[in-house]
Amino acid sequence: MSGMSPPLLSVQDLRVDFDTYDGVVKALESVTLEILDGEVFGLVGETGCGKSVTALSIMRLIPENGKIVEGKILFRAEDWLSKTEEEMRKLRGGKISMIFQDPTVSLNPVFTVGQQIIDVIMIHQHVGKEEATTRASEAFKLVALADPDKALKLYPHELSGGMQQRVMIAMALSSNPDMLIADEPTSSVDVTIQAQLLRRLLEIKSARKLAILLITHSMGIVAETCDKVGVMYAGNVVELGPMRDVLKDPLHPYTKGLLEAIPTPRSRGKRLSIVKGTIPDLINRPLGCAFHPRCSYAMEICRAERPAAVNLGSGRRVACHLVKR
Amino acid sequence: MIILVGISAITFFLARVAPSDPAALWVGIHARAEQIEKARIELGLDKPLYVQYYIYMRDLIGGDWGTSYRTRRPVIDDIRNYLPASMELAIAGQIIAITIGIPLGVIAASRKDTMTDHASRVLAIAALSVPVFWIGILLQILFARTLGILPIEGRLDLSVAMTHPIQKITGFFLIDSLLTGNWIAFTDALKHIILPAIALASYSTGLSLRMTRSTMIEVLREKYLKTARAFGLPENQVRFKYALKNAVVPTLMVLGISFSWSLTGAFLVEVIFNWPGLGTYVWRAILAVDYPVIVGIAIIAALIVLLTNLILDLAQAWIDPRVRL
Amino acid sequence: MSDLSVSVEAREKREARFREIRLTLHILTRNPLSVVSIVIFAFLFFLAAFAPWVAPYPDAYQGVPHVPDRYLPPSLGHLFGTDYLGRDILSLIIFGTRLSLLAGFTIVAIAVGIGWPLGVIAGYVGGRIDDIIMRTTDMFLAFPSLVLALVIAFALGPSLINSMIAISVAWWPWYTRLARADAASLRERTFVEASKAVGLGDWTIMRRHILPNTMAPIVVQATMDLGTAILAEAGLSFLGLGAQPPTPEWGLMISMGRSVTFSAWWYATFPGIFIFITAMAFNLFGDGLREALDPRLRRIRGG
Repeated sequence: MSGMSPPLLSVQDLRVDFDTYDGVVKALESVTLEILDGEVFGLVGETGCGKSVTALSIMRLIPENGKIVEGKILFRAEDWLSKTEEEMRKLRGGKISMIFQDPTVSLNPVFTVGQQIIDVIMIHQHVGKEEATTRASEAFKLVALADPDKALKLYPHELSGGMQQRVMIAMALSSNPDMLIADEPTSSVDVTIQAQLLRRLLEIKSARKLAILLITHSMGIVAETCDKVGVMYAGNVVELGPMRDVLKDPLHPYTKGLLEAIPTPRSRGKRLSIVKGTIPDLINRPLGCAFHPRCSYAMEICRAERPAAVNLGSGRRVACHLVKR
Repeated sequence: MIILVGISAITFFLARVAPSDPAALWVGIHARAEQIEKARIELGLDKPLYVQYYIYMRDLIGGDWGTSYRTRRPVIDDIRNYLPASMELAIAGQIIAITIGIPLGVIAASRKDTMTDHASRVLAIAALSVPVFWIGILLQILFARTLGILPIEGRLDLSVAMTHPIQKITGFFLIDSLLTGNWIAFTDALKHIILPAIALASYSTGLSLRMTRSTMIEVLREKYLKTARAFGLPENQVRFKYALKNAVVPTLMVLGISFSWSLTGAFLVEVIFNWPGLGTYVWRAILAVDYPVIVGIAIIAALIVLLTNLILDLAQAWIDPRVRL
Repeated sequence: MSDLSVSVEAREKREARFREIRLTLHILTRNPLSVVSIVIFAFLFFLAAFAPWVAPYPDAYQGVPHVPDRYLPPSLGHLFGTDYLGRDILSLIIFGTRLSLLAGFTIVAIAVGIGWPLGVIAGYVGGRIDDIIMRTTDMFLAFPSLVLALVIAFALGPSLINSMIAISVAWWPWYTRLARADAASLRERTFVEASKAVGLGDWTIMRRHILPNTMAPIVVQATMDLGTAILAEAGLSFLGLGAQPPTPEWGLMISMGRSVTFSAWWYATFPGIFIFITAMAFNLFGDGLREALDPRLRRIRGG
């Protein structure tokens, strides 16, 4: 990519299928994206578009009935798809970490949070329990948990949602990974906590040169926090580019719709605009562009042919028949 | 508390509904009419029912559980004599059930939907479907009659009881003989307890297996395990440390239910194997319309169940930090 | 909420229920164990229905003794041997199928018939009635159920019918507990409010809305209990509190066979095998049904 250092993470033409009772769900059709060191990449789209599946595929944590059919996942130019399960296990929590949406169910209720983070530290940093405890306390300090030593002894249900999420972040960052994947990290907490968490995350990121893959359905969050954004729809990345450029000049109709749907102070008193319709059937995918039934700019060709992604230079990419250059 | 009162009331009145005259039984077959009448007055059977009940409860609280019509001994003493035998059998049965049922349940859950899993499920259901009394008889035929290696019935051979009597410390033959180094008696007691214990264990084994399996399946599905894997914890640790502890609590509940059921089964097993325990005692009492015994045993049974449940509740609270007493 | 929308909602719910049933049947038949159990059912029902024609010695049921044939070991003439009256055991067992199946269904039917409505009432009405019903339930549940059934059967006098009644009476609390939990949570749902707003009385609401919605766990439990019911009834007969001789009831036959276990082993063995197979079939079916109905065990949709 135009003389820059190789990306930290490169996903190319990823295709993932799920075998279910009702048929084969083609969750990811062809996903391509790159994330650079220290970059905050926002992956945005509505529920079911495949953003979580993408993240899980990178971590190789997709459920048993799923399969990565084709594609490449390169981390620091290493082929991750060919790694064994044991090799992946060492990477998870070590070089790359993932936190999930609802921290209340993500933490084991019968162990203290201290025990849980200590376990992770001991596994990845190969230190004894005492040293691990010290590091755990430091990790808690890092995420601005009040009274970290006392917090170590608490059980998950004794913490608030925001604190639980901080614990998760601490666990994820305890071994200084190169990249953090955050799957809807703020959807279960209220807005004020959400703002705090995101701010803290960005502070940490700057201090450590941490790349973040932020997965969310909220365009608003992405607009405020991300360097680069990728818009996903029905298993494809339909638009990708630097945040400011995409904000100023969205090319894909779906992106436009998402941006327009963000309520602003100006929209007070007016009807909120939405993107009409629902996601397509992922088992029997219709021909052509997956978005065309909901697209107000749909043309004949959209019905027949799936648009290929087109590189527009300076990091922008779109997959839409409207844009052909 | 109220429960106990209720139970005693029910049993009391129920027993008296039975079409039989205990007074006649008390005095004997060759009694004359006026002797029977005299006995009836003595036993207080001429008074109206609610008065009888009141007298009974009054005595009960005072520690006097009445005298058995059949054995002419105080019910309390009889119970104290026969209780250890029943307990020993019940516990032996439970131990067998748990040692087989729980590990198999765990294995079946981790290999869900494989051959092993299906085989275990069938096994569990088979164990649950076997009529306790039939399997007891079958075991007798097979091991005692045909193969002749195990005794048919009873708790101890008469000859052994005479030559190597067991010193009574706890009342449990197995423990007492071990404690006093009485090997001959120990092996004999062991030989006697095997068959009835196995018969008794059949239902409980099926129960433990099935419930452990479903508990483990639920636990294995929990999101916090996904998180643990996402942080690179090795599979062994995930399963045995993280998952298992969560499964312990429901398993304890299983034990509770299993124990109640085995009380029922103990009854039948004792009758078949002529085991000198409460089961046989109460059986003869029922046949003889021995009111005090019937009611007394009913209360004891309820007490045992309540006590067991209480112990299990305490254990639950100790293990699971979320449970508050 | 207008009348029209209430009835539309009702129809939609009915259609949804049909889909559910079809889906359940589909999953059920995919499980080989369930299929096996259904085959066994069919076999048993066949035996029960056509006993007089299937049994090799149909007059065995009448209890006509063939004294010279007492206690014959299994042979070609008598596949399972003969009993103390010289009757063919195989025929007795076949006739006994009727009794056991009847007993199983009756017991569960009565227990459900009493327990389910009571539970719905307790859960829906709440308050003191709820308390009273639940306390009673707790009392019954603290007891090992068979012992309770035993005492009741004894009080009523030993007979097949009485033992069935006894077991039902010992069992209804389970269903009450099950139904109450569901009913209590259903009470909070909006369609109940809506029904009240339309002017439906409490009894009608309970009957038409709450009752059907609590059906699922009851059905599952009932199916699983069928096997246990048969076992319980056989147990009581074994102890002498159920069917009396010369009825060809399986449990009773085992008890009669017990006294001659070592000389006539076949007497106690074969009826037991049938009890086992029957209970197993019911339990397998119940287990299969439970798996089929469990929404979480159905395959996950990807994404």
